[in-house]
Amino acid sequence: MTLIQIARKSLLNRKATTFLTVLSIAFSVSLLLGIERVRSGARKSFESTVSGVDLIVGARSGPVNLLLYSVFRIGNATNNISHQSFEEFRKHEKVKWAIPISLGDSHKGFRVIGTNQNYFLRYKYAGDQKLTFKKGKPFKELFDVVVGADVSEKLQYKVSDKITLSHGSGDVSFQDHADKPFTIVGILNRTGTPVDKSVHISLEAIKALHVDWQDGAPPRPGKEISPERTLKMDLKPSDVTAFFVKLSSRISVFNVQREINGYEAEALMAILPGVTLRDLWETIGIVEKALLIVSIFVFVVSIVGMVISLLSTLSERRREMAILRSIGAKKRFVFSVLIIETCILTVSGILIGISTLYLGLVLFRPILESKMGLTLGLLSPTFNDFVYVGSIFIGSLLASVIPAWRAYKNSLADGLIVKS
Amino acid sequence: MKQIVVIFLCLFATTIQSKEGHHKKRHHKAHEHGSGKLNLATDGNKLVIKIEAPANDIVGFEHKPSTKEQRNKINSAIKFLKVASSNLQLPRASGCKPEGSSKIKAKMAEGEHEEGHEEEGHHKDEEHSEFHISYTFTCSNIESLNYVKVLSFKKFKGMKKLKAQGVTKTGQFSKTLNSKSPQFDLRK
Repeated sequence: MTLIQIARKSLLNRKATTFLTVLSIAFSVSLLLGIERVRSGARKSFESTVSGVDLIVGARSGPVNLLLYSVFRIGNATNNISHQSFEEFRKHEKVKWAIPISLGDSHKGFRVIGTNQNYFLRYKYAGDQKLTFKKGKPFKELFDVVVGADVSEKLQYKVSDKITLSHGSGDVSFQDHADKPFTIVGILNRTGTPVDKSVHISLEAIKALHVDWQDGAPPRPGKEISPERTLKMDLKPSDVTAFFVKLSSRISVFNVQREINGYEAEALMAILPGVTLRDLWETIGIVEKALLIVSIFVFVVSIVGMVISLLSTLSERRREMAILRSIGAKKRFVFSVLIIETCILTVSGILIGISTLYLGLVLFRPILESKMGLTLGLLSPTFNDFVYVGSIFIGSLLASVIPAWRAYKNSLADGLIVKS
Repeated sequence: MKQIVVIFLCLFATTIQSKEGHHKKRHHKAHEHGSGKLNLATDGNKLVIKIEAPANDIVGFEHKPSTKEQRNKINSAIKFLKVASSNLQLPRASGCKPEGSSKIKAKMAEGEHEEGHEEEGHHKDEEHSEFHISYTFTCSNIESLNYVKVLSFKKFKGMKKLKAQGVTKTGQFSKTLNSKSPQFDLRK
């Protein structure tokens, strides 16, 4: 019988302990790799949310705050900015195009984005991909609305359905714009970005919704303005929440940024989205490190568990070792049997761990994607994965030296008849 | 008639005044000793790198040079910074060549500048003493430009860090450079 066969048989002789040890290693492997997967997936999906935009401009607050509400629809703007400022910078000689966005309303928990036609033409995500329509077309009339993939799927909307928007954001809104219903004219293809969860209307429509509102309160009975009358009104938008800027030449980006940040007519702030995202990661990096440390601890605990179980079986196995020695096995052989046992335990733990992770990914990926907007890359292991798996293997091998050394020494002292 | 003219003049004067008051700049730039800025942008085959650093970081004082030694210090700093390759190291494969001469502006504020006092309110013109350096390169293979290394940390001991921001075709980058990690990576 070869070494490996002996090790395998001896493991199979203690199925329960072997199974538990393998399980604990498998869990720690899938935890470690899973956290790595979520971490890189989150980064990737954040990074791919907006591309091809040089600057994002909003009211002066924190750069991260501006990035979060304008791109990721997380949190709210402290202030809006005037439409006039947007127009001035849209016409700026160094600006190629600008997309305005206006936030503040919602539809059944989905954010309403007021914007213009440029949004559908210019907005890019995941490198160079543009927004495409699954059905329908961009909005054209005042009460037209274009919805993202998640909105249409979850609420089972189709083109030409009529919907009502609500004032404010949040799942439950107490103030509906029920007097001015919208018609769905387009449904966007899935992008894996917050666009999927957005309801898009024109800036003029945002204005129209609130045309009869006074001091932020709904119109008093009798003061409402009907949709028909609204259509005839001058609906020049007064403000926007933020706007995306693409410059004719990247070289001028810092100059334009300085110009916007020092703009005297209004307190504006321009951020470089990529740079701000990196700053954000630096802050979040601490949390990521904490998660990593926790999963390393889990791994250490599972290795300690393995060593303990091997050590505790050693006294049961004194006879086994003694028999091996009596039929001519060398001391080295006893040592190697234990090392190989750990190898088998670790390798099967790693394999089971990886398969559990992938199974979990396959099963839960759609949920993660739709609920959290987290797109996780599936089948490509990263360099870090190899580093983790490698260090798990080496770590447990090193730890297994302890029981192996004990067995080595015991086999010297013990005779065939173990005195206990 | 006279009274009307006087009233008119008064009105006019107040409007001018209020206009002036309105337009007075109240923006203040940050100025932190030991910390400068590096901005990098590419477009087509052009690369522009701008560095702004407090004069204190480069020459060790922030006032008009009063002695010969101080004047020499400024001049030698300018001489060093003028040669792009002595300050910046770019990957050879990118084939970036300095275009024209580098622009260097050493703004030295008026008045004595004592060490250890607070920055605000001491400069009459609200200008901080700073070095503004601008390099322009033309690159034959800009795709290979994957890092920029700043060499001046060694030369100027007062220069502790540079907040670097970069915008290239690949994306946007940021990093705080210092003498231990002077390389600004431009890869994802």
